[in-house]
Amino acid sequence: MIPYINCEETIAQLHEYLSGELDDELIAVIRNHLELCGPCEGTFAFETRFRAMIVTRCAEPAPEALRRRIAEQFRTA
Amino acid sequence: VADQATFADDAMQYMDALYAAAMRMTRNPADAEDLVQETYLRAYRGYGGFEEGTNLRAWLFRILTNAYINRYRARQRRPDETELDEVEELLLYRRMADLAPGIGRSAEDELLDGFTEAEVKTALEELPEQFLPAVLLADVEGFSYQEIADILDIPIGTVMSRLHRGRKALQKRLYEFAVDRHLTGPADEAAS
Repeated sequence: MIPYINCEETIAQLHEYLSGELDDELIAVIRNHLELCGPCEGTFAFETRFRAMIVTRCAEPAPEALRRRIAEQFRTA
Repeated sequence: VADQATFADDAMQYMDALYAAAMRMTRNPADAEDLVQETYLRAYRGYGGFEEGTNLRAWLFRILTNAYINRYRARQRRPDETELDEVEELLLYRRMADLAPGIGRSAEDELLDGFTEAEVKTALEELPEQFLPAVLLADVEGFSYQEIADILDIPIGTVMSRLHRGRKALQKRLYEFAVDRHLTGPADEAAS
């Protein structure tokens, strides 16, 4: 029997859940709530997509010249 | 003991991630390049002291953030963090109706797809000084809270409070961009 937590308690764990900071027992409790609760499921789904959006928008390949300088630095250091 | 030839092979794969973090912290390419180069040089020289099997990526980010704090932090001015207590949790999601037409998934797509690289980078770069490294390490780089505590030499409770407030600040700034866009309308409509 998985313990029930309410919406407020579920949302309070949102970021820690998304960051992989919760133990298995609490993850099961949260998942159980999300299966039963459309609004909380929607909130978690949005924040998941929001985080993915942030990651894709701020990629920044290092310039080739920097890569070469650092490789050169290793050779001469 | 780890040897330096191995280091060169193993460490180069993290350069894009280190450079991206350096860009957000220093906000300009010349300083970001200097910071990454300094990070690799310090790491190379200190590699004898690095314990094999521990997390090389975390160790490089630790050197990067320390170098940043030592070299640049005093020069930077960022917005004050005091107003953040007033900011609503999960601001973007809760204000969706104000920000994007439609309902459900289509409104979410409209809102999320609308954020540009420039807006997201600016929103990160304008985070209050204290919060930026924690938010980058957690939400961009995916480090665990304990790894971040080790990288930044702060207690895990401090990591959590910086993340809590930093995430609110990030949503607040992006909310402002979305409101501006909504008020002015998409560029293609304005042009037609």
